[in-house]
Amino acid sequence: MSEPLAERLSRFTPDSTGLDRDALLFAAGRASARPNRRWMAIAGVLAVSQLLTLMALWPRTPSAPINPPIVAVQPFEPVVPPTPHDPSELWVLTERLLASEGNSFPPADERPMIEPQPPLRAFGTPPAKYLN
Amino acid sequence: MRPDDFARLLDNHGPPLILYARQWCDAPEDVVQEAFLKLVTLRQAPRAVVPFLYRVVRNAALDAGKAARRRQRRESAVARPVRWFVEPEVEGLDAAVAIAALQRLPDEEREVIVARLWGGLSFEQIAEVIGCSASTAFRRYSAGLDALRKELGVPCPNRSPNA
Repeated sequence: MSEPLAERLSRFTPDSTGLDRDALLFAAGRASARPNRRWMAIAGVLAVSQLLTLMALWPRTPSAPINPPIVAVQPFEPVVPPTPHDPSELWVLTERLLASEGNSFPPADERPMIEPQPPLRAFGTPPAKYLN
Repeated sequence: MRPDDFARLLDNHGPPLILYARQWCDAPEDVVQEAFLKLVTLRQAPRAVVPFLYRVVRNAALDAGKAARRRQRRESAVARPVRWFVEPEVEGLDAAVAIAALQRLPDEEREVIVARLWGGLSFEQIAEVIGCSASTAFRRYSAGLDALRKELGVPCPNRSPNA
């Protein structure tokens, strides 16, 4: 830069009034700080876990009631009072007819069904000597 | 990069960078600020910091200049007084005349002269910033100085006054 014109020109100081030095240093400090994203990741994981827990524990509204409605069941058949027989029934009429003619059923046989005799044996009565 | 180094870099190269960016855009301060911010956000410092800054400023200023020219076509902006240099006069050389002579130079010559005279870059660094060879940068610098000499009426030092 031994050229006289270059020497003279280089003595001019470039104007930098538009450059705010302090603001630029401040902005540079902010820009140079590495963003710490670890806490963001941790917060995100915690939020997701909270959400999952909430979804798992959320009381579901049942589509149908859990306990079915209790239907009152009658424990026994209702006692139907005996209806009097219709006098016009065939059975009644028949019985009446038999009773009027004296042809009622014979009385039941009251004799014992088994004779009071010793029971039959295949080989007869064993000899007395064997019995004694 | 430590804060002290950064502040020193800003003090030493901020104004020349503004002058360098002013060739292409109307808001050179913004461009320079963005370049410095880009520097501090780098994970690894560039091999040569100053040429890196000049390269970033050049690219950003070219982009900003294109946008500004489009905007100027639409708007009739009120021209604010733009001051290239702090001193109004140096050794009998008027700043306004010097600025006018610089503005009349071709872009590639003015760019090399600004980077060399006020940026203090070597021709190798200028070549790296511009993307040409060092000899080309030197040739442009010489041609620019010759043109400035004619504009400002300064005789060539190698030539004898009687020649």
